[in-house]
Amino acid sequence: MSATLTEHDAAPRTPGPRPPKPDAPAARGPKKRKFPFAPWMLLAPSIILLVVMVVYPTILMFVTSFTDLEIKNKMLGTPANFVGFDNYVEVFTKSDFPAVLVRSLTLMVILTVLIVGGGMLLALLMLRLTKGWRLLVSVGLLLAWAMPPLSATVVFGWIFDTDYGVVNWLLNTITGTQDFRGHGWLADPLSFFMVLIIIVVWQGIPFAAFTLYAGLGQVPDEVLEASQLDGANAWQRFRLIVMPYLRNVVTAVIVLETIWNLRIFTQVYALQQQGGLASETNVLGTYLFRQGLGEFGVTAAIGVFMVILLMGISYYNVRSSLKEEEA
Amino acid sequence: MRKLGIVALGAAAALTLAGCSTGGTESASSDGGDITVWVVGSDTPEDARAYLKDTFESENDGWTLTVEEKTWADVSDTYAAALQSNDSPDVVEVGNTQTASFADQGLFLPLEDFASDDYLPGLVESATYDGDLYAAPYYAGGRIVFYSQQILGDTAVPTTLDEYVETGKARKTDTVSGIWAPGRDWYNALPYVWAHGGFIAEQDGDAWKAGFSSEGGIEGLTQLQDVYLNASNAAKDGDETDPQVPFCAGEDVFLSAPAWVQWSITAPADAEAPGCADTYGSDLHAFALPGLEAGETAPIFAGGSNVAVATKSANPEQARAALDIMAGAGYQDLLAAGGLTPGLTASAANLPDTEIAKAQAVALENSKVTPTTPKWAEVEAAQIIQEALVKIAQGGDVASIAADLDKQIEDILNS
Repeated sequence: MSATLTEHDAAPRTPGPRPPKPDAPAARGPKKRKFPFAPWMLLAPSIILLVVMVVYPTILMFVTSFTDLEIKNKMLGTPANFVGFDNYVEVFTKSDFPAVLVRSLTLMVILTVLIVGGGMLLALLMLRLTKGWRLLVSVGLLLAWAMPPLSATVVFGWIFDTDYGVVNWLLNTITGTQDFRGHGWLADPLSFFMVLIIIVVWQGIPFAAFTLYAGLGQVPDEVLEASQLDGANAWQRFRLIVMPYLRNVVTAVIVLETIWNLRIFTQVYALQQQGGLASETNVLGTYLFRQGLGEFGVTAAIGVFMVILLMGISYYNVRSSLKEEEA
Repeated sequence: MRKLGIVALGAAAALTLAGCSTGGTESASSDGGDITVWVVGSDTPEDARAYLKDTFESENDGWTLTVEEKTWADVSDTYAAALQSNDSPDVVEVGNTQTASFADQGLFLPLEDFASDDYLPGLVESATYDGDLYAAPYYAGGRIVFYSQQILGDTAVPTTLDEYVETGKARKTDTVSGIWAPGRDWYNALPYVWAHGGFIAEQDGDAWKAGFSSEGGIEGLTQLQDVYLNASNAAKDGDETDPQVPFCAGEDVFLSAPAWVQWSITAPADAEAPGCADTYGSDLHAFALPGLEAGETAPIFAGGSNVAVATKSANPEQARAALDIMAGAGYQDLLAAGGLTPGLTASAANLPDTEIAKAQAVALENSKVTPTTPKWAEVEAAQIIQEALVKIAQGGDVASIAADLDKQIEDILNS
């Protein structure tokens, strides 16, 4: 793989049909003073978008996290007070914050493992399927992916409904008892998270499966065939041939899934509306949302913490994938 | 290359301009525009909504009015976010217990020249903050106990709270709730606490003292736990939405719910929100929740709503015109006819002369409100009362849950 990449990367760096070196210094001299107008113009739309959508809100969030900004300030036009690290102290000394953090991180790990693992299995399956079956599986995956998370959560909430849910009915029918009549799936935090994991994994797998499937298409058949002739079994081929080729794709999927699964909000919030105890099922996103009405300072402090946390988690993965590309 | 750059610049400019202009489209000139009214829940009757739209549009040439329905779960975060945005709704319905907090945040415009003397004093008080009126009284409502004669059969209607609970327990089966009591329905939990002498929170000098763990509070919550565990099949972590569903399935003996729920129950079975007009809804009766002694009623929560004009409304003048229609006699008469106690006192004459309307009037005679402080909305938003009740419904230790709850309430009210 590294060989392929080097060739690829190297290609644009070669001077191409340009004049030979002796000319270059003379030509570069006058050009240097001129502002490279065209490249910057081409970059402008993305830079403007990034500044408006990412840089400005992030800076504002950092600033807000050091103030006691309230809705009142905004409505009455009065400036907020600078309170230093008070908001951060308040968040970290809150008794329930460590539990929320641990819950979020655990959930993130479980979800990412299940989604990437399940996605990989599905991608491998799609590779073996005949055209018709592959189409069927793709459509099924796309439908799951295209469903708005809120609608999906509401429907799953009904499936697991305490009084009239189909799961309770099914379990009663299978066991031939009435043991599951009125069983509240969301009331117990553990089974709440079981339902939540089902929803999120169900919706998360299609993206991972499609991306990994696209990556699997890049693995040259000759290499696989050669290794098979050399006596490598299926697991060895997957681990030693396919995985190195897929490494960048897998890293990208893992980084994205990690971020998505840590800042998960819609599914948790919607499921909490249908049952369960919010205080025992909050993750970072919903915890932030459920802070006092319009307490922007504290919520911004939690937001800043989440940004730093996510940057820390993604740092290793992004760095290793960049290194890989440079190698 | 340069041409491409210019195209890129153009695209960027278009993007930024498009971003800016979205804020401006709402602000229409005086010769026309749209007014958005948010009502909460399905209790505002359809004919009142139509009346509001027709009256406003005929009185204000070139203007249109849109009624949007929100849920009670929206009335803290969603409201706060929307009301401070440039895309704010113009007129909003808000719970009586939350009005002061929204006014405190500057989200409502004070109402000048409003004849507040003609309205229910309790609601006017809830809408007054720092001496100014911030919202018009919309309606009041109390919870009453519904039953269907077909289900109740020969069992006598209880005359005391203890009898009510005993009947509920005696009539509970695997499928039928004697008393339908979902854990998160905190409005229906308060009467038990109040009847036994407990309280939510009282001002003690400068500080607030919460009373769920007072002697009466514990007694009330213990009785409530008995109801949850031995009289109800409702979800322990469920809320009070769509109470007509189990009722119409014949699964409730007693259902304590707001009076307007009668319309949900007596809706035709093939309606969009199906009721059971032909079966259990055909002989629907109601009574006020009885108190500890025969002949008295238990104190119930005086529910209700106010309507206010948003500070950020693009057209406050027209918004006020819409609010005046909603607070006016024609509209309030329709609310009364729908079984809601109208904010406008004179419209009460329009209340239907039915057993259910009378039961509600009797129940409301003995009613209480939540503590009157802007901080109260924070207690409601944190949902700590609901969570404590869920834990009680799951069979937790009442004394320690009540003590924890009181501490949480005091922390918020005294912060």
